[in-house]
Amino acid sequence: MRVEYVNPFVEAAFNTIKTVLGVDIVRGKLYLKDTSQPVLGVAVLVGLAGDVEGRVIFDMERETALKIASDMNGETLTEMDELVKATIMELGNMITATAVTRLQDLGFSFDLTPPVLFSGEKMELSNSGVEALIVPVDLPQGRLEINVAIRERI
Amino acid sequence: MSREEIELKAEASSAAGNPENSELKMITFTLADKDYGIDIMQVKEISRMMEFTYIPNAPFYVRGVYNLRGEIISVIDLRLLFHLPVPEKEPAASDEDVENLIVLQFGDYYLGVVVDRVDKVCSVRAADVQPVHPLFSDISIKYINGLAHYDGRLYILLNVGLLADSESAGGFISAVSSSDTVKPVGHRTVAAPEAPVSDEGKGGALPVPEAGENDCETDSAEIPEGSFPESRSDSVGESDNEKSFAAFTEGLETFCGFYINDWNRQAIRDIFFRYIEENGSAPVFRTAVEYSQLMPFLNPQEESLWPNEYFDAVKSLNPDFSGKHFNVWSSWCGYGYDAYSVAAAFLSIDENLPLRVWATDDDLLKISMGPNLTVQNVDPATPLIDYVEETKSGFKFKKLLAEKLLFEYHSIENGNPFPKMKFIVAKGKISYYNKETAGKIIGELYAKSDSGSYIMTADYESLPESDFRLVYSGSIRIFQRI
Repeated sequence: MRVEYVNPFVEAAFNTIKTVLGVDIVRGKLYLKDTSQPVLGVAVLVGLAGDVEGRVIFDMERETALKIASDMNGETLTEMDELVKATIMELGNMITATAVTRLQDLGFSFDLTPPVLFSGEKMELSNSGVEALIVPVDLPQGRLEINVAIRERI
Repeated sequence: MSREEIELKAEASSAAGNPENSELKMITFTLADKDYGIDIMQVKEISRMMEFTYIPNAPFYVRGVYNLRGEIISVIDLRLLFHLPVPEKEPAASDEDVENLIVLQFGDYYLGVVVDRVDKVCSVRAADVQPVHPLFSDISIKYINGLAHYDGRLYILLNVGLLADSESAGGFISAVSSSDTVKPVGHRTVAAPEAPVSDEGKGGALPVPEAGENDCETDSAEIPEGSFPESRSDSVGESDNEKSFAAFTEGLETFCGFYINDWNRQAIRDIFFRYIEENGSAPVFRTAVEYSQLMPFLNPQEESLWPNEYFDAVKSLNPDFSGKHFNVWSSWCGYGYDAYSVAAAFLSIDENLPLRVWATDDDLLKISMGPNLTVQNVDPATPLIDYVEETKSGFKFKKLLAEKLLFEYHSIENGNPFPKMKFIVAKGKISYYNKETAGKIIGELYAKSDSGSYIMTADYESLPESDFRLVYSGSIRIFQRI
């Protein structure tokens, strides 16, 4: 993944989460991963197209998703209902859109697809031929892993 | 050390009668929760032991050697040999890391095998042992003699004779026995033909009748080439050198993190044997400093822009510039010195070249500096001088050059989503990956090159002659894919 893309995603994630949830967050060490990997339980996927092809996945455990949705809505949610799903998808959308806006300013042209949410146990994700940048984010609500895989169109 | 022992009485007489009715006594044990059996006639004793002495360069399933009341026996782990999971030892379960061990006897040699749990001794009729279906077992079919039914359970009867023989084919026993650490056993309860160790016998052929030669190919491929050659009486000096070379390369791994692989084996061997020629004895080094005095390239060099020699080398290639794009890959580019240099090298040959340089590294801190690299000095004799402009903080690269470069945070171990490359800079890093990863990376570099592509390596690295032709050799080397 081009180094120019790394910072916009990291910054967008931190600023958005800080603003929306109003919490202090700790950034884990960034690293690269081959793309076949387990999903923690709830994953939001936002596709990217344009000069590049790829996707961003926001991966978290079910409890973390419920807590984040509860805090964002200002009420306690205990079930993975439509409201929780919509909230988590919206968070993913906000972060990705912020990052893409920054990248537009730098001269890269990206388009987004609407977010898709997956939930379930023992899921695994595979892409062939793209490695992913993992941005681990530690929140009071739990751990959120942002998984960015982008490659140039060639 | 705690040790419980079962003395096993040899009942050799039963096998002499009608084989259909004869009884087969077997010791049963478990590996990964499945039941296995070994003919008791081949078992000397059962023991529990720990702290095997590690043998460097042995096959992966060899745990080491063990001193069993004065006899040195080699110990292998059946779970490793059969690629079964090895359970984690609970540290609290016992005060020491004790393994269950079955000691087998083959003629004059003992062989210890580590198993999960030793179960019991039971008898089955030889006629009740059934052949096994090839699809049945997790483990390699050739190690299986048959299936025995006893008390409602099925036991997989192992052909341990073959096991010992694959050992010798793998070179482990031969390596140990050639140094005379395994002695013939003098006192035995089981009658076996006397097999004194003769000069010819030092090669390690064990008196095991069952195993055919065709079955012995197992695991011999695991042995690094040349690390344990056949020890014959007429080539003792050579084999000593080979052993020292194995020790030398192991030190390289331990002290310098430098692994021997197909790229560098020849050069390191040359350096090693040249040292022996000059000094009369093999180098015995115990620190990274000693190694790097003999091999200066082990010192991590500071990254720098290319000297003129490299530019001339690239120019002398007369590369084929046809095609829509001229793709260049600077792998392990670090801060990007190599990447800017290689771009300048090609642009200085043809300024209208549709050049794309993919610069990758898995060090995020370094690669992040790439797009805005500033250098303090540029050698005015190199073509680079045409592509820099002076700023307050140093020399920056002109947009003309910088726009050809694409810096990617990328680990070469993962899939490489790049097009085929006309030129790859891959020097001096591959030896720092272990054998398995290095093999994968070499395959990756091969997959990303094409017939006619060039690969630049360090001067101690070489590519297989079957696929690559050396076209430049100096303080770097350039190979062309055939």
